Amino acid sequence: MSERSERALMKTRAMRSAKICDRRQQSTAKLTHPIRLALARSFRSSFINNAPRFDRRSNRPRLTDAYFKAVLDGIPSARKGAQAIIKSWNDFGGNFTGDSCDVALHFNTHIGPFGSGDIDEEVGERSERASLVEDRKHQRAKILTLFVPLNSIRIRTFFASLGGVGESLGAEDALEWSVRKLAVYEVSERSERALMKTRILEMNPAKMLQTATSTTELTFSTIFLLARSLHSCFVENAPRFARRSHYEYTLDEVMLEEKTLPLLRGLISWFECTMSVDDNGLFVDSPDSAAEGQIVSNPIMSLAFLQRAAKFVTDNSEADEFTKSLGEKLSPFQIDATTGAWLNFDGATTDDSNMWANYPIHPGEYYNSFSDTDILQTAQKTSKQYSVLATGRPVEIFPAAVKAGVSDGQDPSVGFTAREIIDGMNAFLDNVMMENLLPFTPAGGIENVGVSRAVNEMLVVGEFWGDDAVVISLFDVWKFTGESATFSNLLTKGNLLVSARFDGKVGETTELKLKSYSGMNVVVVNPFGCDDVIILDGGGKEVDFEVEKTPKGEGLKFKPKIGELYDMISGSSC
Amino acid sequence: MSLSIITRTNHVLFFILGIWLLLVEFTFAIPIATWNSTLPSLPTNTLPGSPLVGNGYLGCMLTTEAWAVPFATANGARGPGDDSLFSTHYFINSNGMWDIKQAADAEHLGPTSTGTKIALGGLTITSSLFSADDSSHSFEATQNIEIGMVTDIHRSKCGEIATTTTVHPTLNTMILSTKFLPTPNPDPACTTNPVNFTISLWTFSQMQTQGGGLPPGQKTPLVFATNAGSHFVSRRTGDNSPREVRAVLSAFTDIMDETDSDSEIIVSNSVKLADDSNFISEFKTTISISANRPLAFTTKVALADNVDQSPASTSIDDLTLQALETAKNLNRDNLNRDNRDWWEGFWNASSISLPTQSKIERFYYGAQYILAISSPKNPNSPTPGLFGPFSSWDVNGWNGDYTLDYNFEATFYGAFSR
Repeated sequence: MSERSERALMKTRAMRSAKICDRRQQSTAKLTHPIRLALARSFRSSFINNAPRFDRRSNRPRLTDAYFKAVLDGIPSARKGAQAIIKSWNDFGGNFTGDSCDVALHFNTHIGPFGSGDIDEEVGERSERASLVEDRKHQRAKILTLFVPLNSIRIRTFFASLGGVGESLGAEDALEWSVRKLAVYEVSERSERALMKTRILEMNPAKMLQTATSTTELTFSTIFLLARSLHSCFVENAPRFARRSHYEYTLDEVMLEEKTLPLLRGLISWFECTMSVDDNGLFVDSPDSAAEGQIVSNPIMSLAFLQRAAKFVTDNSEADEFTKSLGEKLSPFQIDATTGAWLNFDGATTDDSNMWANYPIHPGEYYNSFSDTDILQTAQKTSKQYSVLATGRPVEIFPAAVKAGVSDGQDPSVGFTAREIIDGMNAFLDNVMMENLLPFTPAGGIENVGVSRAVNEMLVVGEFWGDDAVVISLFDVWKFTGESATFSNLLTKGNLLVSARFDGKVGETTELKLKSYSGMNVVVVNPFGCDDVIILDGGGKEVDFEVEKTPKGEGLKFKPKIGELYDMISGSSC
Repeated sequence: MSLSIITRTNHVLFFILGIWLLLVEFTFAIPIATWNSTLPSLPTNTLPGSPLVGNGYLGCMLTTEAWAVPFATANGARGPGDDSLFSTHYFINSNGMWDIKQAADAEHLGPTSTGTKIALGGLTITSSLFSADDSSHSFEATQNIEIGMVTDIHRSKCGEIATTTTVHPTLNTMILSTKFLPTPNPDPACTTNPVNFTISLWTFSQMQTQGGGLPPGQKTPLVFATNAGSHFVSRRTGDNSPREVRAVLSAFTDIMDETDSDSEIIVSNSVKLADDSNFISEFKTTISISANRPLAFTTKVALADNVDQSPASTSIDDLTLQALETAKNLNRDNLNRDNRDWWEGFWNASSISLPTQSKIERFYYGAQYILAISSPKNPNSPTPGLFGPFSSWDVNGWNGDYTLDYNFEATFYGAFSR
């Protein structure tokens, strides 16, 4: 372990022992930065003395009352900002009168989730969609969740608009929804830049406020500072599935302690604050938005995220009781009785659902390929139900189809076969791959490079196994194609580099090399079709191993030295 | 593996080991994309299908067909280099241009504007060698993802002009090396007149929207002119923006006289600023030489911007001059070494080989390449939106934005295991 990692670990232990992540304590602790403290001081009485208490019995989140009271009372210019917003909306062709329903329609029609660039094309559809929403509360939510920003101008605009229309919308709902949606948004480690303004604000908020040339800027700055100061677990305001993944693959303890855990804890706490409890004592996430703005109860995207986030925090830290029990207390994913596939939200039909029902499979990773057969089959049915491989959204459906596993050897109606996935990928590439090797989509297409994950995971998957090991399985999907494949140095979870060869003619793995950068125990699902296996270390010496059962068959467990190359071969009796 | 370590007693073993290493570690073929006719036209409001090269922040798109209104000229030519039908246009952009449009929108369109990715500018190389009625003209281009290089070659009965384009892996500098080789014993008509090469650095002078430019007075000002043989163009937010964000392209051309010819090389510079009827502003360097002598010149284009405001105390003017100086000091050897080292490290990190699935394998390596040239190495730089740095126009589908659901993270799905 590096010195830096060791320091981080010590810090973690100290934090755990002091239980510093108590939310109130942490909020206060984060106010020690002099600039932030100065900025927060004027509002301190508003939100510290009225410390957030979430009355789950009344199902009413109270978190944002203090924010808006402080903002609306404390910053007169917020109202000017609101007037500017209204004027600009009207200048933009709207007819805003201040009524929340009018705002909803206007917002959906003229702004929508994507911005002004799509107005001409989508105005009709948006109007129709908006008019279908009758429930006033849902409509409010829809306004806000549709207009969820990740780029900072949207954030700024959004918060500014709240400063003005908050009263008519219901301020507490407004901020609540905005932050929640930001919270469930997944971004990568590299996405910090996406919140540039936010970071500038963080670095020099005083300057930001001093130099703000518009009330919009000022309002945004203020609200955001308040939000950050109050709920400091919500450190970077964007969740990072990718950060979780980053840790799982690299075991970067510094990242874990400084970024991943605080973020996930904060996100869980946000949901803790906002979910209600049904008659069965289960948490209900309602109303929330399914993908692209549909307001529903218990969208599977959020449930899958929470399941995974809670497990991650519990597995990797001393989690609080709420987090530990969250997985059991969350509403279950809904399953269609006819198809056996997951549904997008409570009460949804198969027709209501879509590709996003795949969310627990990928990227949510609610389960993995070593999970119980029942879950695997549900995943496979779901993937097959909602994925048109040749023409669907490739970067979601291919990784999901591979992660669900293939149905070869089972009832072929359950899920895709390996051949279907390969043929589907070829069909997709036939349809869209351009000469420059980039698969075209109308909306950009850079994201399509992520389909490579499906390729990687057809060749090797690695998951954590117990408390101290990573288990890998080779060619899970690929072997059913009967075709040869080779890969070198693909990284699995547990920071393990794997190189292997599959001989399609004999249908077996013929070469396997491993190098661990974590030193975790490695369990290899025996890929040789033969019990006579030898593991050689870098010096050519045989390494002892144990045999363990895994859902995929016999696992060979050994303790690698960090950085040493191991060669696993089949013995002479094979 | 060095031959020196192969001994008589173990050379067979080493040979076998070498073959095995080749098979296990290096059995993959990084594909080269080729084009044998005109390239997909630019600008476009979608991702281009043309050759791409970049370093994760600065991106370059290549086309022979620049069609859009701002490029049209009275005589029907298709590019800022309006003296030839046969031009090669290198559209240049960066991930940071998204931020510029944000700030610009805040000023121009009011706070409800949501921002979008905008174009930056480009470089065009034209030559009078190729006349419009030259039926002998042919063109080919390659995108070599193994070394991050795009090559384009124009050929005719009079000669060949080949340009290789690379972007330094860490410096925001694009290098174009152009060589002209006259045909030995050419048709006399080929040598009647001198050959002109025009290198044009250009940008859009107004924000391009679906309805045309923004109202008068909201142009993106040009802030530099020519200076000591270097050219500058910029796009920036307006004077009243909450925060000024500016990107500047600077370019200069080195002529490498590698011949003993006595014929004179004439170099001239000119400026064509946009007016209300022309959205393009450009700075030109024209090289005029005898048609029977070879020529090589290198054009370097440096990008500077204040997107990340770091360091905050450095003005964009200073940043521009620093970038230009860095580019000037970057010699070909250093560039080749840096490029080779970076791409070798990138490709040697991992590999796959799917002998029976060449299309999927081809996609896989293409995906790694696109990831590499779209994702900044500097964690403080903007991460790619829907178009990465490859938007060529101010109006892009979904604004070239960071979008919800899964899009933003999806780019990196495969990055963890690779």
